[in-house]
Amino acid sequence: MYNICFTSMPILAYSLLEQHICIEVLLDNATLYREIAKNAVLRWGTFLYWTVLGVFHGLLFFFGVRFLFSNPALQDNGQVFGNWSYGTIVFTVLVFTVTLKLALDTRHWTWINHFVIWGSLAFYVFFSFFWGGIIWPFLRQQRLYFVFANMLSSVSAWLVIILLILLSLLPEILLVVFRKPRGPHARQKKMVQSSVGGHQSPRSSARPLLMRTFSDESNTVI
Amino acid sequence: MVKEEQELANRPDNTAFTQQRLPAWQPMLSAGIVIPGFVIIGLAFIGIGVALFVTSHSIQVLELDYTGVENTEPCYRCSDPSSKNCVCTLEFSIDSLFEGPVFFYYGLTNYFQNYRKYGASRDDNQLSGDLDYFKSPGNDCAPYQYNSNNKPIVPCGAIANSMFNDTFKLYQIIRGSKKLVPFDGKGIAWWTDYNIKYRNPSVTPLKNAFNDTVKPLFWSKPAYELDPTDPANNGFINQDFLVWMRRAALPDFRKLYRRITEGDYAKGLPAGNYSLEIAYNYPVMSFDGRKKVVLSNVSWMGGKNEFLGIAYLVIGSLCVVMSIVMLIVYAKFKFPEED
Repeated sequence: MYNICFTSMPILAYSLLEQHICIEVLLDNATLYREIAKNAVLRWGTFLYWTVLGVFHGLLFFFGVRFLFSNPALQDNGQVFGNWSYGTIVFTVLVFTVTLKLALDTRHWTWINHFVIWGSLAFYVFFSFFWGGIIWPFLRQQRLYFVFANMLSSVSAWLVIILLILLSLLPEILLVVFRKPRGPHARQKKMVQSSVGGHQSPRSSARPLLMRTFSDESNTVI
Repeated sequence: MVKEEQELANRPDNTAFTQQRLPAWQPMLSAGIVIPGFVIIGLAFIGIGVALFVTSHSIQVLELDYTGVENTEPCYRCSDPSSKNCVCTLEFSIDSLFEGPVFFYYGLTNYFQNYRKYGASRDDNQLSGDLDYFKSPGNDCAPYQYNSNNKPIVPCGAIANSMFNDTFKLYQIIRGSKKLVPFDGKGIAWWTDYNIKYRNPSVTPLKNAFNDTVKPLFWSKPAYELDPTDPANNGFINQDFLVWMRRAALPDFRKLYRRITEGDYAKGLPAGNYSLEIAYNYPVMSFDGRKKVVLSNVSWMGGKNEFLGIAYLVIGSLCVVMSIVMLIVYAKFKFPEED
């Protein structure tokens, strides 16, 4: 379910439709393709970043909910949450974080991207209600009956879901804001510099993204 | 001519989708969006964190461990495995009004209800009243499926077998005499558990459905005698049974036992001396577990839990700090440029 229904469509749309650099710039500067030649992006640095990020997320989700469950009476009628509610909270945070991370990475939003990303999240919620709302005759154990709906009736569960999603996306947000540019603008300025040989301030290519945005240059395609 | 046609045949369509020219929106992260965004999120989180922290602080909790490990404890003689039908009494006092409605939980430590094999050991078909499964319980319940005489166990499985069977009575001591505090045992299990998921077999009297079956080995009375006084609380829909069957997530857990909402105690437990009479039946010493009783009141966020409040405060302050850092960076690099 996770791989096929909840998370496959957004990454498919991302891989087909994403444009970090717009078509006109690419046609002018064919040497930009050298950046990705010979599997250049599959470096140890990128791999380690993603691995560490995955470990960080995993620890955050599990232990965040574990500390919340030190007192499992999370509903306002005093009733107690069980094992399946714990797992459902963790899984919900997981699906939302993964999809929203992809949304943060997407810089070229077509209607298809909107449709698959928000649609996947909506499908997850709808499916959870649907699956937990019926006693399925072919199942030996009705484990998840009403678990999702019950989880959503607790304010504490909502608050911890929002907190964990934001906390796990925080490193990504900071990285997007503070990252050194590798975008088209730096390349363009360098090209002009080398060909014209004129005085061009190197600041715009070396400054991190934050300062570029402040000087009215966008972090996206031109 | 033919070659040109072949080239034209292989050319991709000139639509917006295939030529990657779909209309698109590109997010522009400018300073005017990022910094106020972080400030707003930070302040909102701090606000929520303060509300959570204050609410959690105002919740009163009283925990009493009654395992009886030391020989100075009142229940020490009951913790001996060979003692049967032992009753022990715990005395405690409350300083100020314990505001109602008061919730009475029992808690266990070092008890792994989340163990996989334990958790799978149940038969939901039996518990929904299907008489076919009374005759042949599911295989998941093994070894609590049939007894030594090959009679089916109803309800089968390890979870049902290990049902908690201590009972409690709370008395307030007023001028030397004991006054019973009334307990309310309704609505302690999930509504869907009580009304939909667990059903008694539709046989009256209920006892007849259990012919040719035996009770679980650990139980002292069969399922149709869990509450003979109230047929809406008997059999599989007994609220204590339902609360137990909902597996806990962590090895230190608590489960709701009763609520104190009626009579003189509707406003809460007044300050004074109390005496808790415990029918000590459940053995935990063999696996180093502990039993306790927790009295608590409940708010909109549930029971007392300081983690959420503190976490929200920390993250909120972090967001505000980061927005200040970004503002400093903005000031430092933007203004000198303009000179």
